[in-house]
Amino acid sequence: MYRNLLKKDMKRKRTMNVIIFLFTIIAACFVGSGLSNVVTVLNGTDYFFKKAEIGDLFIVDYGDGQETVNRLNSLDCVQSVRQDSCLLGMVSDISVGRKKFLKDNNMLMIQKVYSNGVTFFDENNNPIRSVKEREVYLPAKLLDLHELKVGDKIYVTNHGVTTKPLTIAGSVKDALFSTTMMGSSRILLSDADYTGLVMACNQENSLGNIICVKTTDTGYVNGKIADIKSISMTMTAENLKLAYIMYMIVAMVVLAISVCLILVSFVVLKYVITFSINEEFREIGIMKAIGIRSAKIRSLFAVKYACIAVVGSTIGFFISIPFGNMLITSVSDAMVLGNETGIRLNLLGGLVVSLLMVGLSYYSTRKVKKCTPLDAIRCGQTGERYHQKIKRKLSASKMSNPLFLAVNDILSAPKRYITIMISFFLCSVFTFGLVLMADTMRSDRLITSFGIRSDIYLDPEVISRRDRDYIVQGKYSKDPGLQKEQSPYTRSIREIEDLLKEENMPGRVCAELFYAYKIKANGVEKTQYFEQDPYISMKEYTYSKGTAPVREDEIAITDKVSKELGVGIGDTITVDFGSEKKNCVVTAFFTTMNQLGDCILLNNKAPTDPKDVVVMMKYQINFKDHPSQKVIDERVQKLQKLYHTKDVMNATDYVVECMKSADAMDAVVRLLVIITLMVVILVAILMERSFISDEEGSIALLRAIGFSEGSIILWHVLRFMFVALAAELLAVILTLPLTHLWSDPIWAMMGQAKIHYYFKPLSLLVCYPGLILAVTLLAASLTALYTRKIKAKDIITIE
Amino acid sequence: MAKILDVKDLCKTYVIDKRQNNVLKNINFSIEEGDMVAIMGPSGSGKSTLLYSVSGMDRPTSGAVTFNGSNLQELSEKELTRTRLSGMGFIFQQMYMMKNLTVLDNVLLPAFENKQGKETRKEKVDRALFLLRKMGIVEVADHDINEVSGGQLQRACIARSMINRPRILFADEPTGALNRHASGEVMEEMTKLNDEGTTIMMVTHDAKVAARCKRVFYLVDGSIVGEYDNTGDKNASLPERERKLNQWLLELGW
Repeated sequence: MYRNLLKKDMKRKRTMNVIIFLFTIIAACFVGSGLSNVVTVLNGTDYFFKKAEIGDLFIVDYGDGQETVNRLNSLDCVQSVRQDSCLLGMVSDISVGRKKFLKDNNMLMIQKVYSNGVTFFDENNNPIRSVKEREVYLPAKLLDLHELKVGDKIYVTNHGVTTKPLTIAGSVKDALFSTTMMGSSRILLSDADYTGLVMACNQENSLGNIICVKTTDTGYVNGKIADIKSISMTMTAENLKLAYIMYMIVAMVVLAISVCLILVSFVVLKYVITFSINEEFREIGIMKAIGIRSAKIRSLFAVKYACIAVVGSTIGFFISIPFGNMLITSVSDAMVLGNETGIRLNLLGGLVVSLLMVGLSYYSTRKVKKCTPLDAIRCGQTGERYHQKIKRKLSASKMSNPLFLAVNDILSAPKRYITIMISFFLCSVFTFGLVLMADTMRSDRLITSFGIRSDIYLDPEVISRRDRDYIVQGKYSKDPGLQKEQSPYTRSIREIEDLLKEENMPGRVCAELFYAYKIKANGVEKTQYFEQDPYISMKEYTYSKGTAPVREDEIAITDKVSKELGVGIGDTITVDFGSEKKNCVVTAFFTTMNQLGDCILLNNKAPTDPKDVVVMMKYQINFKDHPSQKVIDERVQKLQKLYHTKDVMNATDYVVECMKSADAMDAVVRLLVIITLMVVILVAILMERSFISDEEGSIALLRAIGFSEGSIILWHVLRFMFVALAAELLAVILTLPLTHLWSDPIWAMMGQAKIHYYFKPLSLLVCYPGLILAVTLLAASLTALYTRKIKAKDIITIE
Repeated sequence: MAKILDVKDLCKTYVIDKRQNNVLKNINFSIEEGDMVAIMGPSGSGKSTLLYSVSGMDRPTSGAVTFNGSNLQELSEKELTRTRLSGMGFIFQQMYMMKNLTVLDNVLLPAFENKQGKETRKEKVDRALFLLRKMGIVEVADHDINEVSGGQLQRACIARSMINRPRILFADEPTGALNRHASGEVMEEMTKLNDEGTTIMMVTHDAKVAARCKRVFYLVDGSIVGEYDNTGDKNASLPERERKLNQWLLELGW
């Protein structure tokens, strides 16, 4: 009996069954890929670090590394030590052609692939075991930044020795240095090319070591190696994860998309099944009338949906694999993402959807048990509102027929439209939230997270390179005059100020300098990053708590440092400035995204030494005549011409450069917008199709009594318009609070305790809601054209 | 009286599974203004198909249907829709109504859809109420369609069909789903409408209903095999007219 009834049902209710089938495929695809992606993202950096075998702690040693390795090997808690020797240089040592050097002052590590070193991966996530002679692998961030591509030829110069032309073989995913948050980069040469370069350089001070340690106690190890002079940096894997935070934001967004798609699938699936079963209420009544038991009737529906679920979920499962991969590969070209469960989670997704469908169908037929055959037959299709009082009257309204019918339908049966609204709302609110984040990243809202607000930020390469070389080549130490009068940085600042004066745009120039000093507080010893701007007043900074550090032994700390060291206002931290040790008192808390918030602000008179500068941020200009933004932008162009560099920018561009991931964020926004539009189109098409199927009788009646095709289409489209409008309105209203809810913890991880989002009215009130609305209307309109197929004469055949 | 509907050589053929099924074969008749015509015949003889073909709801395979001077076959779908809206009224056996609307609103739908004429919305509402009063159901005007009886619903359908002052009213078994009492009430109203000048063409199985009509066509296998003229007995009582009609039908093999 089941077979015969099912066969007939499949034929008779073909449209509705096809709609349910399509939704099953979509749900299985979304749930399968979503589950897989959730696990992948949650294990994101752990999986990558494990694959790359970087251990728990990594150390950059500017010597031969022997002392460090010996010390490490003597510690009981150290399980293994991996050592990659390399040549140290600058990214500007790479040239395209023999003379066109890259404009990039970040550190460069040049090495070969060691069999017992870190594992590197190519863009397809395959391990790089060796590099062919005359080939080179560069991280994607260098390729993107300097517009290089696979197949290009480059030269690498180190201490005056230049390699033969090297062909870029691809991009390398390096767990330690691929992330854009790490300024330094590492490139891979073949054994022969690397050995040749090392031999030719023959410079002891250009060799370095990157050491990866597997240990059970990183804190203990850190303390034991703190006194080794050749160590320039140590970082635990836990802290390194923070360097991937921007990728993880993108990954979290993928996770959010996946969860959103799963929710949408379940909401829509429940609606479609309930809707479909309600449609069959009359048949249920007839079956009861002829004596079929309730359990049998319910099982009949369960069997029908089980058949659809099994076939749909199987197809959905196969689609979920490439779909999930597409989402996850969009996350990053710097990370190897994946999970160890393989396709099992996709399979689980399909299974969940199948079980859910059978469960939902059984649940939706629960009324069968209670109602009499007469109830079921009389209620007809839905019958749920048998004695409901009608509140809206066409006779008392001024609306046109299509408008009134649309409004009346939504208000009479809100449940069916709420499903669509929830789907649209979920997709929109995530999209808007992400747009809000992306817009904020592209605004100057975050400028105080990277120093004080200035009109212009510039990096005249000629000057900064000269300053660096002056220190690196030891000239500074031999120039007592300069040491006494001013540092090389001060000299540059005066030069820029003079130029500004000459050009009739006088301004004050300053620059943030970063140092790494050893500290001790509450028994914790570590190398800590400090920032200092010797050229401005300490009161120009913004503090979240306390008062500005006015004495040279006063400091301000971030929440992150406070938590890590267990110190607060009034506590002291011992800082070893090299020349002297000072017990510095914490007087304030401040917020910064520099070093992901793991940073201490020094007083401008603190005893720092220019030769200890690790990083110098851009020179900052504050014009004395307080010009408008238009004038500032004109001056940006003028300075670009004067210094022959593009590296002159306003506050907004500077934030974009510091955030580094604005482009990645834009890409994710684009992806999410596409997925949102896809979901909106699918929901609109399938829902509208199910409405047409349900309302075939009403449409035929309206056609018979003289309604034009246009009126009927308008009636159907208006319903979607109102629902989409309501969803978009709700999404716009709730975007800000909901985005705070899900993204504030992410910003906090980056050191930004409180964020003021940049709400771009055009983008969030017009463009994106408008786009979603337009696509909804288009999809609904095109689907509503199907009503033209229903003719007046069909009224004869409609039950 | 002027001809309102003229049907010439009307044929309707359906092709099902490559088999040709001639449902209507060379039908010829004409209806004058003020006429009230019933189409009778055994099940499957093509009565409803004939009604829908001559009312422009379905297109005949061949032949011509001239309504009010225009050949329906030459009209576009849009023109046909407009003709149905303003020139014709329809009553169906199943009393189809729009869900979630009151009885009054259902009656008003075609009126508000019709943009011809100068009537205001208020005048249209007044007319709808007038028609409902005339049908004796004005007290249920604000009721949900689920809250009224079958007879009341069918009378509401008649009111809806009359709202745009159609030239002709087509009814497909208007009393088919009603009990004897409700059926009598509905036919009473239709007769009154006809007396007031509305042309009516209906399909029925019920001789009692057909006896109220001026002319009766008897259809067998897609052809009109007989026409009964009831105008001569207009002073006779309804049972008498029904008896005579039954006799005629029996002669035709009813």
